[in-house]
Amino acid sequence: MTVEQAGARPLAGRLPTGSAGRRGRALALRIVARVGKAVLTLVGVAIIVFLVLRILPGNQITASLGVNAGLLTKAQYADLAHFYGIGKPLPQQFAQWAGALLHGNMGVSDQSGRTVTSLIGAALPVTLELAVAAMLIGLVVGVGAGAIAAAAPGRPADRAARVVALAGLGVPSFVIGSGLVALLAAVFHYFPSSEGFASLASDPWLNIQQIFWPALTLGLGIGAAILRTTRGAMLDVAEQGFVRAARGRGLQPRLVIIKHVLRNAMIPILTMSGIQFGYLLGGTVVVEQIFVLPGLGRLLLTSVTEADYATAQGVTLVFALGFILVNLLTDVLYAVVDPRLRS
Amino acid sequence: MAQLAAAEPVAVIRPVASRRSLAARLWRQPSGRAGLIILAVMVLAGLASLAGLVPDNPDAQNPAATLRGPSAAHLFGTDQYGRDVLSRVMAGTVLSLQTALLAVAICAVLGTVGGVAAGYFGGVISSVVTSIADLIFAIPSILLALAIVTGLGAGWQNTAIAVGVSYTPIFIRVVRGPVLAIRNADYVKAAQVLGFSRMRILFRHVLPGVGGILAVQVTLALGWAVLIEASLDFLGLGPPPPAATLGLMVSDGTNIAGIAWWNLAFPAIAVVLLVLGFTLTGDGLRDALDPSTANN
Amino acid sequence: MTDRDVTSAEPVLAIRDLSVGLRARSGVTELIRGVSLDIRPGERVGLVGESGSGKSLTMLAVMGLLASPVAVTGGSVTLGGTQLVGASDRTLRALRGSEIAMVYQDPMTSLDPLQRVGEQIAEGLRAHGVSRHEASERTVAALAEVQLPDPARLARSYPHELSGGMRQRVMIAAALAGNPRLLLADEPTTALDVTIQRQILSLVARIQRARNLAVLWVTHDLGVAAQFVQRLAVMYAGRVVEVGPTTAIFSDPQHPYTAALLDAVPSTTGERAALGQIPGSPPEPGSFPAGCSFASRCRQALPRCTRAEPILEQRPSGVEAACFVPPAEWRA
Repeated sequence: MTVEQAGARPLAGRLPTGSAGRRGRALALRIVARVGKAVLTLVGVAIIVFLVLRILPGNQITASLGVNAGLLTKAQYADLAHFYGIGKPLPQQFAQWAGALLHGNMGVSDQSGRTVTSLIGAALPVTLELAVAAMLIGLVVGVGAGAIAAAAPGRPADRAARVVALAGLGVPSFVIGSGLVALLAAVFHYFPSSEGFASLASDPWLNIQQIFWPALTLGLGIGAAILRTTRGAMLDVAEQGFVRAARGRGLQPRLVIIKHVLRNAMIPILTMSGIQFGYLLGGTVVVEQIFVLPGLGRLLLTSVTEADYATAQGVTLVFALGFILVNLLTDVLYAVVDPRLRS
Repeated sequence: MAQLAAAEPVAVIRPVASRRSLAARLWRQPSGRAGLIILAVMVLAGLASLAGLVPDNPDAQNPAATLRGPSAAHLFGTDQYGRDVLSRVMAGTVLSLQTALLAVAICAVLGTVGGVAAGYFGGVISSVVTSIADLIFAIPSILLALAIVTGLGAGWQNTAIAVGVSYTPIFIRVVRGPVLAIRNADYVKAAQVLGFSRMRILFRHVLPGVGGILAVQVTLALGWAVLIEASLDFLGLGPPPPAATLGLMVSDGTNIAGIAWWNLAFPAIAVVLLVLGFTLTGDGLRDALDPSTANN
Repeated sequence: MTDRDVTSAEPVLAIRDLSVGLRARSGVTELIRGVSLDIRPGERVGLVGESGSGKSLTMLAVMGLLASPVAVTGGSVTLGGTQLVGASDRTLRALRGSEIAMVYQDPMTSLDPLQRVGEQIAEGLRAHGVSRHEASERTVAALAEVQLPDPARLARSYPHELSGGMRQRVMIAAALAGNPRLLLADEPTTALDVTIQRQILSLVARIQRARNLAVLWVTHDLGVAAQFVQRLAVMYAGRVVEVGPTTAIFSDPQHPYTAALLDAVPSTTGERAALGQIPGSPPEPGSFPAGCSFASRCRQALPRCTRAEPILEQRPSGVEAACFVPPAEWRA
């Protein structure tokens, strides 16, 4: 029987042989390229931020003195202009600012007289805590509910999850936040104020109480988006051949969902989480305002409304840096999840 | 692409792509229908407000009737100045809609031009456009809007410009991909071989191909524009008082919600309905255009 | 073929009057209509037909892997005395991967791209109570049995690092690791090139003999069927229209559809032959005509063929066929 003779020959296939060293170098090269791109993006953002804030009408003199600026003599105006660096060519202004920036000097806030670095240093932990908490809530709610919904499409749990997701997408965070503040005031007679803010280090329990509600406000919107992505991606994966094959090996449905379906849905979930992190940064402006948290978002809002350029530039850069770092992290996580991206 | 064996006969018996109009297919989608109904209600309310068909002048103060609860005279109650909340919500709806429309017009035009240029011409143009889009994308949109509004001053047109610019990168990305795919499609290559001009190919073959995606994106962008616009108003960066913006009304309403819930509830509901209306319609539109996702 | 006598043994798998339908609000669309088939220990049975004829669905119905809204609407499937239709998910799970295993059409999509291949074999064993240590040993043994080089190392590789033929060997190893009595193969060689296809066929044939496995092999490739299976069932529009020993069917087809299929094959020496060269197309589920489903494409059709539906009947050559017109009366 010819068939069986052919089968007696062992397979003349080759195992993947690419040396570990070469693969490692390629990976390192890719990481370097990716980090380089991130740095370039950051430089680009710095230029844009700088330009946007300069090109816009008005300058620091009119901003800090308001209508009184019209009363200045020419000499006084020139003095102030020199002080603020107005009138110098833009590239020179930028070079000055960027040079200082590299030394960790982001300038001095016109309004408070404090260095921008110290203002940001004080506000960053608050926003960081808020962002991490919100992201955690969003991931737990989104991936958890999304997985439950995808496990039984069309069932009551799925329908409920889809309604919740829709509500989370349709209700802006400022509406959720305002509703929560009104509710907290009515039920617990709790009114957010900046006076009593406790840091995580000084009074952890009070801090968690203060962070929880704003984090929930932000987390619900993120969770809704992640839920929809998770559900859709899992339903797509569930139709793949390997899922059926895993069930065909007698695996428990729950194991199939966690080990094969959810894991393969992680790439789109990660992508959506990265995008949501971008929205999250913007959302901190709104939510920190509502809950009176002394974070970066509030700092940005006040600096922008008071035309405090140095502070506004600094905070925006920190936000952009955060966004770029999270994108970098997302790329790394892609490779952790998917072996095809590692080779 | 390997299909499921079980899906094979199912695909066979699926009704042949219906020639029904897009609107009809949209109406058949549960989410599309819900979205259209909500939008119809909101647009009608806005039109009524524009036509002067409001219970009261939205700016007319009445010290004798402040913070009245909902009643026959004031269906949505009155605010702390005695102004009719229903009339103000209707006026705010108009403001939200017109801002969103202008904003989306801006980003749809900029984004489509940028996306088509990047996708169709490729090369240097593509790298420049996508780099700029990536840069704008790295700055959270609300921050960008914040900066633009601050610079240009308060006013609904400026809010619209801010929202439009910050959403442009998303449009560029959404349009670029399909344009790239269509450019490499056989029928477009055939047109090139036949010697048709680039512009002719662009307008006759490429643009119609991305029309559906654009329609979905425009609808979703409208919802997003309402959301950002209201958020900016909420932060006090929109048109200044006494303009009736929904965001400002929510902000003011929060402070007095304990004694006059209607000042928070009704403007908040109006914002939610607007955002939901566009989101649902956009979802429905996407499903109507792509039957394969209709069941998800 | 040196077939041992298997007809006397109790069937491993007995399919009786199996019907599968698509359930919708508007009613049930029949996809498989009353299919019956026996497979005995050590027997290699083929199921051939055009795509959409219901052969893959039959297999998925046996595995209990039909996805809603497609479901078994009637009949029975017994595996060594256990009724599978309507059995609890727990019962089915206990059988899948241990008593009955399946190899799928596309080795590219049948392996989870994110998991090491050894893990994907071992997980099936562990689902049936095998310890972690033993599962990994049996995994390596299974990979060795399908003649993959350096099995211990291969177990640690990811699917994308393997060729299509290697992946299909991995799938076969995964199916055999649990020591099943019945192997279901859903066109496992279709996606592979001819050389690899031959290697896989001979590999399965060798293991099948060594283990006295019962194999149900679905294919649309009569060349593969001729080489590999002892008994053949030909499906058309959700029904078995002819069933019997492969040699008898190839030498003397009793159904015009089978005859047309054989005419479409250039040779039976293992060359790949595409079906579907018969004029016309099969009726779509939901619109099966009255009478014989093949009548509209059949060169031998008589008026009565469109009125009544023929059932399977024993023919002198030893096969059963569902046709009113015996070959002796066929027009050339």
